[in-house]
Amino acid sequence: MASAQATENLTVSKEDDLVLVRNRARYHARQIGLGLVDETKFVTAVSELARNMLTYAGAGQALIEQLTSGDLKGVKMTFEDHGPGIADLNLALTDGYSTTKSLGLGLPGARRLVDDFQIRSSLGEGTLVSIITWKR
Amino acid sequence: MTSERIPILKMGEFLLVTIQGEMHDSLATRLQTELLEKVANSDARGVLLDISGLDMVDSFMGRMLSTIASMTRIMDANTVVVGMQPAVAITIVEMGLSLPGILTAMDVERGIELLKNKNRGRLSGHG
Amino acid sequence: MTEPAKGKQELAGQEQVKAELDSQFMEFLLNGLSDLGIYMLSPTGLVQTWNRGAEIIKQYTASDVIGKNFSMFYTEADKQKNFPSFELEEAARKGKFEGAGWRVRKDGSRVWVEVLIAPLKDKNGELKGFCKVARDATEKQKTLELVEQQKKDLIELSTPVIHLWQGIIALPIVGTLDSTRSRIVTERLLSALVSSGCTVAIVDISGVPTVDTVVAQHLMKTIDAARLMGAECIISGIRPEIAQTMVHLGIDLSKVKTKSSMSRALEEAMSTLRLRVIHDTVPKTEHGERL
Repeated sequence: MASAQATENLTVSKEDDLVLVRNRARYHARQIGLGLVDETKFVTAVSELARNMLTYAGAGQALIEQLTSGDLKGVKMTFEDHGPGIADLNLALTDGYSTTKSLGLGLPGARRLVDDFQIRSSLGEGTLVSIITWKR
Repeated sequence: MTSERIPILKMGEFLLVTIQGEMHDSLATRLQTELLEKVANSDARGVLLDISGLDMVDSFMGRMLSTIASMTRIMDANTVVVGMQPAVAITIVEMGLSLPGILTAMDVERGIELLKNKNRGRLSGHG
Repeated sequence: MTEPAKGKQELAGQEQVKAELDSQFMEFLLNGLSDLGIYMLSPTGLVQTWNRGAEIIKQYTASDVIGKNFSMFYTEADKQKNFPSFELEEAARKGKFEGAGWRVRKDGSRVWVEVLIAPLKDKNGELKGFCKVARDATEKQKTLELVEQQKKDLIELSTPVIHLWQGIIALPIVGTLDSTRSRIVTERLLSALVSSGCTVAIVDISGVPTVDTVVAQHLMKTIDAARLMGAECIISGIRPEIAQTMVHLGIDLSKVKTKSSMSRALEEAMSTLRLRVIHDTVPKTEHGERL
């Protein structure tokens, strides 16, 4: 069971917030000592998911946590919104799926960049996506 | 924020744009428009996009680079993306992001060489 | 003495003892603990108090720092990223800031500190300033950084890069290529391209016993990444058995340059580079041709 510390809760409601979210994700990734490549992959996934949230739900919350599981350290980010939700999750997780141009690679791409990827969504209620990358 | 502009430099027959980090989405869109206008007005034969200062390229930025490349080609100018950082290149490949129509070079100097070759190739009738 | 009056005197006495203990406690906290820097900042980050621990950690005396902004302790890099003001804002907003980082001592040397910044508010909730606690954790950090550096050195030693010719590097890979090793090879190859300024890399796999779909995929990804950076990869040392396996597995190598030997790969690399220069405006003879 992983324990979380150094948590940060950020509100994403405008474009400027994307920059802040990326910066904070990078900060925490560095704090736990992720190498440059893993850090870049994680921050890129964060950028994809944060932008999705902004585009589709208009606004949402981004929670950053540093995880410790025994000797392992990781960084976790959870994106939660109360937007329209995703009708067909399986379809959305398939490469090339897009309702508008900007959702082209959001989910499948982000999933490939992280160690753990969880998503829950209900129509009319919202979406929750969480990603974790562990330090090797 | 809205008054920020990314400078577009004329280098002989080519245009050079140095893209720094932390580019807001609206700034990216504005750059696209201004660049195409400048290609039209200055009769540039090629565009160099220097992304050596970018420590992250996500699908939005990737699409912008591809779009710039497609649009400039329609206007008879090639676009070369130069200086992609290793971590960014690995991430783009892992992500499966395809960047159609993008020419690449290690740095501005080689980018110019590539553009000249491409243009010469066209002049002598090679595709 | 009436009861109420006696009560008041006792209370006064107790208050006095408590005040005395408090001030002894404060004295202990502030100056008895010499490895904890504890000091107060104004709402804008000006140093208002100093203690012995802070003096030991940062080498500055109270008169050096009181009235100055605490950003003076930060490194240039951190100041550029606005860390000092960010940390204060976080503390004010979240109720505390916990972090770590390098600071610069009076003599210019660096110290790694673990810090806690807490906002001080009056009863109306107005921000009156901050309390900062810092602890020297340099030894621990230095050990961590040393281990990281040693890991990097080990990686470089086990994946040698040879600068074969102007513009060409070679990476001979010996041994099995699992996921971890492939990742290391990719990172090593790409960073070697940047540091050498070369645009062609020859990856020799004659020393790799088996190449399966996974390994082939890793190689493809490496080649794709190098291309995005404007460089070409040539795979050399493909033994007949490997070629057979790849075809059987349906691995598509049509977009990959492959050569059976390093010397063929070198020829290919030089021809690639020559092609780029051949259109140069300066006329060159065959003998004067430069790469």
